[in-house]
Amino acid sequence: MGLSTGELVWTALGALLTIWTSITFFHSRLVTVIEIVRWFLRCWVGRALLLLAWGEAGWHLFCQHP
Amino acid sequence: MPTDLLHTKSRLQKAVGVALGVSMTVGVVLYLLWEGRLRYYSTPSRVSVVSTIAAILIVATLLGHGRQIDRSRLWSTQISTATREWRSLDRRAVFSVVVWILLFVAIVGWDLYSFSREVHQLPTLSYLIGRVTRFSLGRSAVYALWLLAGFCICIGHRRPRSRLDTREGRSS
Repeated sequence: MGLSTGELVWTALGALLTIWTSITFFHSRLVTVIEIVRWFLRCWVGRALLLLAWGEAGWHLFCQHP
Repeated sequence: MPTDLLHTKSRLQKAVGVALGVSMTVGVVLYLLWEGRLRYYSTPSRVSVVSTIAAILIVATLLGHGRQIDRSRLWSTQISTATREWRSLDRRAVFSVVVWILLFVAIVGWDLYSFSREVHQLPTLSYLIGRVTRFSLGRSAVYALWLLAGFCICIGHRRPRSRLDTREGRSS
């Protein structure tokens, strides 16, 4: 039972994301994902954008997806 | 006597704090377990999610009033300035931001492509997450993460309350 094409791509993307996240945490001059989130949270517009994405994700994952 | 009174008051405050903390934790765990038993498309799940979103928005507005670090206009100006003068910025920082943007575009792009094709060979990200959330415990766990993320976005990285605000009794 092998992985489908889509599952392979998702696995590769997940691996890339994990590797890049680790690299940024170990190199002090690289921007981490936490710094990006904190930058968005500096003002109302950025915070509202994140809240919008968060709300949409919740609605989609817990109410719509079969 | 006053020392005893202060001591008793402090112990009482501590006990009330612990009791509140324990009650809230038990309440949240019970809520998550209840949420895990709900199904997609059901009215209770929709009411629950919409209420949570509304509550987080209200709390974010109340606790964030006057406590944002930058004004939105200044924030957007910083984006355009950084885009214009990227050569003067630290190259490693610029490179890492570009990689983040590429990763984000790749994930969103692949998800949209998979969604548009609608074939079993190309599952969307939400379909894959659905393999976890179809189980009660999985749904509870993912819901807990979602709730935690919302809470962090709601109250995270706000400007510390200044001395002037505290003296004037302002809450935001």
